[in-house]
Amino acid sequence: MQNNKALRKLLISLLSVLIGLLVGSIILFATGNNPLVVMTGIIKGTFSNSYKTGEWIVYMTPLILTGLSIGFAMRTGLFNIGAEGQFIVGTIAALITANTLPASTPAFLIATLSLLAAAGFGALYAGIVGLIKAKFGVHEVVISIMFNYIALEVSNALLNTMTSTPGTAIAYNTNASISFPQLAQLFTFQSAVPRMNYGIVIALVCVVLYWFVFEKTIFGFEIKAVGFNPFAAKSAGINTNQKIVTTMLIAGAFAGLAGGIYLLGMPGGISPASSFRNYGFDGIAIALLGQLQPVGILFSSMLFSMLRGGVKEMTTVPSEIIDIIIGIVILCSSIGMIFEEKIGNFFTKSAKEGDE
Amino acid sequence: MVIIGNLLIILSFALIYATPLFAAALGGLYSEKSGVVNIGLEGMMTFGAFSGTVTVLLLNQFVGVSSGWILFVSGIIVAALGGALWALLHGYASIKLGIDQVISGTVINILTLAIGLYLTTILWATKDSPSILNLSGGANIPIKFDPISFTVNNSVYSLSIYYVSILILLIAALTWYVFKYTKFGAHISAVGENPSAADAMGINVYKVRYTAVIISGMLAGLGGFSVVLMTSAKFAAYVIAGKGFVSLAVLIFGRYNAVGILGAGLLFGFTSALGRIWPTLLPVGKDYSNEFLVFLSQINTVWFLILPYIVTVITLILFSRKSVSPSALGKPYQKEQR
Repeated sequence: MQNNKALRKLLISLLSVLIGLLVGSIILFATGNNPLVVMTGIIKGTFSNSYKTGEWIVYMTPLILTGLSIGFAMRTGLFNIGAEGQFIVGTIAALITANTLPASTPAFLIATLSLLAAAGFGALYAGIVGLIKAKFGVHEVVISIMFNYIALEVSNALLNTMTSTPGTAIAYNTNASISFPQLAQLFTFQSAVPRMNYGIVIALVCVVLYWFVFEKTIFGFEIKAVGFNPFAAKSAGINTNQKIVTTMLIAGAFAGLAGGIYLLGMPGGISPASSFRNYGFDGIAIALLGQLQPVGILFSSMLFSMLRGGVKEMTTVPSEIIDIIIGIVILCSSIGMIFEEKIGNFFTKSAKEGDE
Repeated sequence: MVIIGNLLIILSFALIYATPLFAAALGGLYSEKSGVVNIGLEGMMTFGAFSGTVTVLLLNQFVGVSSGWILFVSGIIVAALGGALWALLHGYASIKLGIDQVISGTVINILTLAIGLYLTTILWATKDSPSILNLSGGANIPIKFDPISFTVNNSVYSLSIYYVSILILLIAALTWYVFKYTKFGAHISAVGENPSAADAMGINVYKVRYTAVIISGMLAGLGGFSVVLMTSAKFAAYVIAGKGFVSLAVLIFGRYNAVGILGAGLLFGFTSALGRIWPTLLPVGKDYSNEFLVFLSQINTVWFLILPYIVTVITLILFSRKSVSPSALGKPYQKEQR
């Protein structure tokens, strides 16, 4: 039974991706473009040389974490559209921590503390949303959207106060860098060195943690119960309000950590952004396509990184074709999840009837 | 006179910023009153902006020099239809299939912007469409009129009223009337509060919800095109950039009624307008007569940008105890569930 369910989920995700690619190709063909350009772009952009494969991993890293963030919250029935804002808070928290710690602090400690600050402040930012939801019953989506804009505007203003020429990039203390030169060397192609960093290790550890919480702990079981049916969970003695806040704290920590890694994993620092960087919003699609499963989220992050990286190879067609494909993929996988539930109910029902 | 002039400018800007929010929030009112969450307002606005702009630009080649009003009206109609098209998808996915309404809205937000920019690039080979002002056919689209205008020290101060603002304010009045006095309005509220009871009374829940969602798409589409008419003059990625989400805040802050929406929309409009002209009103470093003006001139404009969001969050918290949101909001209705 369990295996069947996992197989059905996998099939739905694969089918969704196929339909997305197919519709994308049809749109390309109908508008006079080569329909194969997306497929070749993805392959060329990811595997044509080791540098590109390295950059694929770099781009994937924050996506895994934002995917986990949204997936974690969604397991409790919360829609963490605020991952985008928590990501921004993470970048700023890491930047300020890295640049204010005394210069004598050991490099390893600066990097660790900066990442912890990113996760901590991301958690706090999301935790406030959870608290408002639990205490006052205000929908988390609306509050999160407000918080996203507040984070964007305040971070831009903060960055502009750190420089005499507003709009330029703010560098971070290079001791805080989490770059992984040995790994970068492995992926170097000719003179192109990818921006490999320890972030991918952290992200993979988080995937395992996510799996562990939901499969092996009572806490994970309880928050799944809240997501499945909050009223039943409440009458079973689970403190649903407390679970909402805790879930948001954890979800925020994942997204904030993504922001910290985004900053410290790449050289050059960060400049004010006129719009969102979309790591948080892509996380929504990744979590849904991955059906909230840890391995699913990992694989859909890989796919999204391929799609986003492949764009650079698709110079002949408008890059928005990727977003069209992504939209169709989410639509198909959420339709698939509905059908999966219905089919699942059907099977469990008939199994029960068979027992009787 | 200068003070009055500046007030007129602030008022004009406030109306520019508030008008699209009015339209989309009123749209959201129809949808959410009927029980359907509409996160997709953002995307419906985007597609309205896109389809209205494209209509004006393409139709311009077939009509004469004196047909500005024809272009204005057809742009608005197609923008509303463009928004409605996506509302139809939102309705089908969330009412019929029972997909999570937030997910369905998110999909619409992604697809509309992507399709709009994709087609713009196919049509004009750039991501920004050409301007709808200075059309090649020579027609002038009617945009605004200045009922008050005067000059002091070579600076012109005027109050600008945009035609599309008038249209949207009329729709606001109509919406107020619909929900206050008509059977249709009562049906929408009934379906949003208690679909089972409404069904038992003989109201077709699906039909009412579909109608409400389609109206919301039309108004959001109109709101999106109003941004093109009043500020951007073209379609581009940054034209809507969050206005649909802000409209949701306006709707909730406006306590789910038309009058409240106008008030909340104006608050957003005024703070945005103040933030916009603050640096010109009180430039930093000028020789001011007293300390207070110096302090005011040094206020970071970020406060004006985030003030509406903070006010919305606080209002949501304060008023949450006596919730005014429809009881069945966000819950798909399935007939056999009774």
